[in-house]
Amino acid sequence: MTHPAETVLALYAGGDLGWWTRIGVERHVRQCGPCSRQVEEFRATCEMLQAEREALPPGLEWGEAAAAMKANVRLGLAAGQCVAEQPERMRHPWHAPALALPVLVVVVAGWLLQSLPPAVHTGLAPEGTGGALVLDAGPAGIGVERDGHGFRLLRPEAAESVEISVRGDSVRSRYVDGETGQVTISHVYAE
Amino acid sequence: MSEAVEPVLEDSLERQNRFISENLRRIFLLVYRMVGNVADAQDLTQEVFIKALQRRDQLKDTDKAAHWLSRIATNTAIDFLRRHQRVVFCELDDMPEPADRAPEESPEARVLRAEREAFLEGGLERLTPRERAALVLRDVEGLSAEEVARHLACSKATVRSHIANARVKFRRYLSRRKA
Repeated sequence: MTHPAETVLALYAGGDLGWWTRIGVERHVRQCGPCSRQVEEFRATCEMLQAEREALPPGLEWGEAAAAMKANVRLGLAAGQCVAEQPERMRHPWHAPALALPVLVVVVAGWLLQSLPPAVHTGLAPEGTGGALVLDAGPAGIGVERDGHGFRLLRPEAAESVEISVRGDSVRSRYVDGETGQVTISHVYAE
Repeated sequence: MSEAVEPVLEDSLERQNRFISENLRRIFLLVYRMVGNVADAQDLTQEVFIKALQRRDQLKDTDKAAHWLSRIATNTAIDFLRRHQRVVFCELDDMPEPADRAPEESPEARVLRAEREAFLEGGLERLTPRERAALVLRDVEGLSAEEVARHLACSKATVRSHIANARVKFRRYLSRRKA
């Protein structure tokens, strides 16, 4: 005879088996003394647990314990409200614009500074202009310099035709070689 | 049905007090059966009510307030058991003397009650937190396996497995104690 597992008998005793399994186990338990005894023990255990449902722990004075717990609950709720009020204040409608305004000012100022053209002096800038870029265009060539340092693209010696034009922050030169007819165009940008 | 907000849980202090009074003993006993000692059960019961009343806006269905509270209690107790792994019970000799405030209970009855209680808790101590929760909810609270599954947020099959294992362990404990 194959006996049902102990866990199956435990579920059967508490009425927790599906009807099909329950019928099979019921038939077995009716014929099997040891399994029947186990089922009775499981039922007695369940009954014992149920009987203790309303029993308070020994030595506990419920009235005092309940009053203490209620008071602590009220205290906990009051403390929770105090903590919750802090972020509530942060949710005032004027807070977001107040925080956004400085950010907006910084962004606009940055954009304006970025879009301003650099100071360009095309050959007329006096010496020692305090760090400003100086574009230089003359018969010797075109170039750029700052505080006495820079570079110059010299005019080729064989150049016959020379055109120099200044546009915004750049200077352009166009040389035509008299011997070969080769055209050399150069641009210098001040950035 | 879900439209009505439980008047008991509205902000009136009186209503909140009534809600606490109506459920305090039941929740305390549920938590106590699960954690096995009075001091922790008191702390956790307070925690349960604070959590419930702080989240009262989440409760829309008035009929489910008690069930919702039990669920918070179960989860709070399971979390506690997991954090502490096991529950420490005092020895029978160290058990506090029964209170002298129940004159209808004879000294013999009080001793028997204390023994029975220690007996019961000794068995529950041998279970895992989830087995313990499943057994308490099914056999002590009398919830159906489906309700227990909802409380523990797991399948009915898992709950049956927990219940079966818990009953087997408990029965073996009782057999050994009787022997």
